[in-house]
Amino acid sequence: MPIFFIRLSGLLFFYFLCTRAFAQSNDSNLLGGEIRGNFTIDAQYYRQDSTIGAVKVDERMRFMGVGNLIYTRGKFTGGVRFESYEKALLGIDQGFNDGGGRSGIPYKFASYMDDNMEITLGNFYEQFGNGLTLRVFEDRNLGLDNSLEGFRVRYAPMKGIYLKGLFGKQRFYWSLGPGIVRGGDGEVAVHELYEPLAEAGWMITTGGSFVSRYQEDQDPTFNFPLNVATGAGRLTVQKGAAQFSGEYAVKNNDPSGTNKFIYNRGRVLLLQGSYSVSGLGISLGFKSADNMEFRSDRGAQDPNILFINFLPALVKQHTYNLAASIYPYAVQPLGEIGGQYELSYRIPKNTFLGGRYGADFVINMSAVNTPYRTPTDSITAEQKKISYNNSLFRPGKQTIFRDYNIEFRKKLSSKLKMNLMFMYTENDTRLTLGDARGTLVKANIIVADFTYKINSSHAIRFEGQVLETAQDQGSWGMGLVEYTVSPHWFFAVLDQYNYGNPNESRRVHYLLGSFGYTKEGMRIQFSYGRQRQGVLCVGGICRVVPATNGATIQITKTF
Amino acid sequence: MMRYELQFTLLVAFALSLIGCDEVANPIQSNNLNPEDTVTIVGKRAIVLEDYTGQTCSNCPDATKTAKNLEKLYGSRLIVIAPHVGFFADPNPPDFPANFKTSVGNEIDQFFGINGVLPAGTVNRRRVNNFWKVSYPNWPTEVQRLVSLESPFSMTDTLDYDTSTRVLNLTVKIKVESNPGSGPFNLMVYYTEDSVLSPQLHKPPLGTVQNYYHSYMLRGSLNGTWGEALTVSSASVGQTIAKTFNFTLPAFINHRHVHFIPMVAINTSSNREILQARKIKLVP
Repeated sequence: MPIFFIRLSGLLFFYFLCTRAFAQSNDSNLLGGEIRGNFTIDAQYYRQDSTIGAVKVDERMRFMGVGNLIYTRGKFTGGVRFESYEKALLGIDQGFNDGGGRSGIPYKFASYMDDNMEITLGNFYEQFGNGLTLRVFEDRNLGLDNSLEGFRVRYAPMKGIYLKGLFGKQRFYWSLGPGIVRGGDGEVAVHELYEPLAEAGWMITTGGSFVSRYQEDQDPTFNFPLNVATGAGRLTVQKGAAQFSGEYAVKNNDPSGTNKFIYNRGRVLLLQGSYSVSGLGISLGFKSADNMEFRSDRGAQDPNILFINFLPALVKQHTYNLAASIYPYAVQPLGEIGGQYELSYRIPKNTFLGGRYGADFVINMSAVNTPYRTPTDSITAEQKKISYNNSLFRPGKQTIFRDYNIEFRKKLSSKLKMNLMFMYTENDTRLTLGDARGTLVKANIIVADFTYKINSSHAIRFEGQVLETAQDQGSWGMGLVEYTVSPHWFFAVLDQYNYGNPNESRRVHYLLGSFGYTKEGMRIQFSYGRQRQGVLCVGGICRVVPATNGATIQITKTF
Repeated sequence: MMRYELQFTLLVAFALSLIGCDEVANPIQSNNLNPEDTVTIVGKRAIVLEDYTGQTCSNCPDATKTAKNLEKLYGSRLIVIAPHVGFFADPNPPDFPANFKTSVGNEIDQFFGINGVLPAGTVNRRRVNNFWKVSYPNWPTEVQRLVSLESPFSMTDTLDYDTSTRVLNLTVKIKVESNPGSGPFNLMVYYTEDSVLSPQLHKPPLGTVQNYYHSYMLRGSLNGTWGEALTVSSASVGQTIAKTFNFTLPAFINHRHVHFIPMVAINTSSNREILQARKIKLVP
């Protein structure tokens, strides 16, 4: 522990040195321009704990840091991002360590923007439509960065017409992936071109995108397509409270390691509709995807690297611990068909359920199955490695995921708020978590969340959760007490207990204490205790977080 | 003005359409490689494929299948070593009680950045896109890339083995055929065991396969993870260096399935490329 505190002191000293240096640089003014940015530092001290499967970490403490500096002057913007993995925390892709730990500048860009054109060179993020053909993005919680390094042009030849073009290679840890990505996107806002439409309350947008990947082929067994392309068309129509959007994308033959080198085409259809008025909201969504994983390396296997496109998750993104991190949903780009329905209703004041303050009521349902497929029976198709036929509208029998949940939020008095949730879920962990020894887990989850406002700056929150299941690790319980002193401090104690584990020696408590301080764009959070193995998912993209025991500190600063 | 903007848009669309895509009519290659021929090519380097694996890694049998297919294609030019490493190789009773991890495997797992994320491999320990680690669908490409490369070294061996005492005497002779560069160079001698019967987890619906024969299993090294220094330089061309090893094979290893694999590699902190290797069967 003394070593931990010495290292921690060093870390804090470095942090305050950085922030003070920038604070003294004449209010972020540099050479007539403006400089802004942010820092995040994560550090974790590890203790071996065989009870929960927390492994010995030779370094004892690991550090990760990232700092963005962005300089803007007139029409010019430039920036760099410094990253340090000494080493990456457990659960983050260890490829960032580049062996023994690595620091450097993997992201740098310069951009020039005038009235109707923007040119960026260097690294950039981009999305076409819903991302079915291209979405390169970063998510630090997932340890994911698929940025492109190359050129991008955005051009608006006239009001209502928006064009984008780009080319480059994707980030691959501290290097670049082997494939060259080229693409373009065009969008027409019809209501901007034809103003009477907008005056009548219509908003109509249509667009299309095209993305192609080039990768050399030296494989001695297959003839791979050197250029693989995907194209999509989309339409969004909005009138008053109603909105409809749809996008359809196709991809030509793209044999890859993950699809077992089949030469089938890929397809995905995404349809979404919503209707929202005061106190009532309804939304419906449908998605069907087949063979639509698209990466800039056909041999890439590791999760979350070199993805060119993105298929959004049509399921609820839960925030409560047990619902979000034990059996979450992970998008299946190789094949899934499903939908989501949500109804939210504001119960008026002075009614039986609404009481004095009213209440909110949300029903959400989502279901995802494998697609229905029939093996190809013609010799020609077999020779061409077209391994199956399918329909975008016919689900197969195998359940991937179910989530039926109901949430009730109500203010009970001027000081007490309540949030209740019940959820029934089914999750085939063989598919969503890639666990070959998994099964179709069926679980009920109950959450009760109460917040009591003591006075204008002090509040206390109690949260209780139960996950009941007969499969996998059995049932879990969770309790949380959180005390907040606004606007700066919070203190929390959380315990998770795997009381239903079929192996009695694994019925253990995961006790975790934490506190945090926030002030003027700075946040420091410290926690100590056990963290169970779980899965962190953002938008259907997931990473496994291993069990750990020890101390964690996170410092963030925006300026 | 509007006319020019329309022309520009059409030009961009036309440029994108030129990029296009390739529809492949005949996916399977009918290549002319003959394993027997490739073995005898003098001066070519052997290709060492390290297939990092683990008994509870359900995707690992697919990777091993890829290695076996490559072995069929390239014959003895390709030498496969399978270190069992990381979380997926940990004993996990009752289904997976065995421990096939080795200190050599653990060390190279860390050094080459595999970190137990399986399946994965290295091909002659060469960097690809700055990484040593190569995902298994890319193994054929990376192996093919090395087929035409020559080696500054050639190897021969003499092996005496007493089946009753399990004591062996192995002499590896390395001839410097051409200027090897600045080095430094090391000689490592690993040994592997084939046909080790033990359960292996597969993808659903197979699950745990009890009667699984593990191939190419790394069992250890005769001279440590990184071997011993070879003193060679440009002046050594034409010379032959001999190294002799005496070793008693552990009792739990089936000597009929053992191979010794001497490898000559560069030995710097950033470069560990294997330049030549040989596969020697203990009991013919």
